[in-house]
Amino acid sequence: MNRKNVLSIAKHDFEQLIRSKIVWLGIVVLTVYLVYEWHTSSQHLIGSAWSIMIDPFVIMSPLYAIGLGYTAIAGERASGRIRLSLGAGLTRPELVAGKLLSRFVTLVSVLWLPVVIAAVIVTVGWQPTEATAVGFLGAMVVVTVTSTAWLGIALGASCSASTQLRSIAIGGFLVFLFLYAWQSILELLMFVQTGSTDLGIDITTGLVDIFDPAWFPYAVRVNPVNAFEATQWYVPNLLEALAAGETIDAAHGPNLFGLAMLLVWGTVPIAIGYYRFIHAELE
Amino acid sequence: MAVIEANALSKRYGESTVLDSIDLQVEEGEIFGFLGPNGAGKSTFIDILLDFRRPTSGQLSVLGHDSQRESKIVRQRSGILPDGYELYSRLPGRQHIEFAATVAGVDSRPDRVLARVGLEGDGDQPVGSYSKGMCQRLALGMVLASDPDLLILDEPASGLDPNGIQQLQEIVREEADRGTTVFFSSHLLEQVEAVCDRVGILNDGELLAVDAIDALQEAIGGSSELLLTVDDQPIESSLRSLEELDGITDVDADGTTIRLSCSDPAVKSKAITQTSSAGLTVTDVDVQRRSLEELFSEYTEAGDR
Repeated sequence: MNRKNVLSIAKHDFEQLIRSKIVWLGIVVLTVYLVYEWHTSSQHLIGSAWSIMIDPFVIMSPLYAIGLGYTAIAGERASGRIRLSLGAGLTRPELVAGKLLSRFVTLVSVLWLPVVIAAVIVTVGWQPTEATAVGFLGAMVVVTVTSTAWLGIALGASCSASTQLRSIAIGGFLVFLFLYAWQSILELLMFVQTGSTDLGIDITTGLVDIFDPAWFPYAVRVNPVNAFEATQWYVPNLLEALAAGETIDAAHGPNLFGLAMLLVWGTVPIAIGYYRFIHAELE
Repeated sequence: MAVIEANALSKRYGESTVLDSIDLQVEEGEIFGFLGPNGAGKSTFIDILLDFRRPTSGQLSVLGHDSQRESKIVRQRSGILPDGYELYSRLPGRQHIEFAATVAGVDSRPDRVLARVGLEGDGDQPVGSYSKGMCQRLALGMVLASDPDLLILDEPASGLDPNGIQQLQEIVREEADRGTTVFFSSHLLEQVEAVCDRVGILNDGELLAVDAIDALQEAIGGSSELLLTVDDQPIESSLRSLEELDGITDVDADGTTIRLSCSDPAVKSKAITQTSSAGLTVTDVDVQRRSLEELFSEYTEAGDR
């Protein structure tokens, strides 16, 4: 793989994306949403402020990642542009790597720029937060990892599908599955096994490490939405404790598994999509 | 050296045969016209050239390299102007040229390329503001910027105005003069006729004929028409006497013009003499070759039968 070619297509794609009105609309919407959320919840922002501050990303990061990812390769194929790019000497691996790079940089910009703007506005306007910088940055790392997981899903779908419609259908199905259906499916399985669906605790906070059935907290975290909700508490808590030279009592196993699942979602769909795209015929 | 060499190349999708055992050689430096109606398999053949699709069977060598195993080298040394594409609408034309040159690993000279394709002064405008013809010129510029040894043009006149078409033909000839092999796929027969050294006629996945246009005309017979303008309207017996000449396949009269279809070039002088013998004075003589369009119809209809 030629690094110069990867950077060249990444630059070309990124410059096209940042000129998009939709991308800037996304930045504005997220900034306004963050300012509103942070302002209205400012009286509650003590200690674990970061967890409230990144709540908007539960919904926003999958939407933005899917929106950026689904056109990456399928859009090139649909537009016929791929023949010009590959015909000029670009290879398929270079195209995928370049698109991944440009979409990742755009996604990070779209997520972090509103955070910085909103943080300045809220801090200057209301000085509300007692959140620690370590905790907040830790939470934003989780946001970035989660968004990358969703981008991986979307880009994998885009590589696998021959049309943009199929690509968005795959991405849309997974968003629906994980946002609305996954928990119900697991609870049904749990009911079959134990006769109950009540754990009596918030399964994703990860502060307790004894569950019955034991597979449940792991299965929950296969879902990137739940993995995010769990690790958004776990990682900042862990980082703060480590910074203070302390330890925390948390469900390390399920939460580290959740973190690993986010990395899996960020890489495996791309690997599968890449394999399919490399062997696909262009139509 | 053959730049493109296909041997028994076939492409099938289930029961449907898109390309049927194609044998074809395109020589270095020639301008080769690839003719066929929509759905004939032209674009599929081009896709296989560049490994966008894989053949079901057969061998294909491009620029001396296996089109599948060494597709990267093939694509680095080729340039394709595809049929139907969109460019990056928010980026300026100049950036497209620079991108193509960078990927091809050649020096970027965007101003020179833009001027060559008639986009001088438009390079800093976003491509979204370009007309269809300007986009086609820019895409051609991207292909030229990569300085290919094999130039593949799929319906290159699409969206171009008459000036653009003339400029395209000049560029094609210039490229051929400097040794570039040009593979020119089009359904616009007069353009193929205007620039191509040889043509291949493809129909329903079968390559019906490959040769120089003159040779194809000779091969199919009745290759020219003789138009005689005479001083008076010819009578029926005069036309019948012309019909009886060996080498004349059809006679038609319109006022003082007699149109004779000749399968044998030598019959033309006999026909003029016969006309004079019938008491008519020949005031003008014109010879028309059969157009490529007629040849094309003849070959594709023969292939369908």
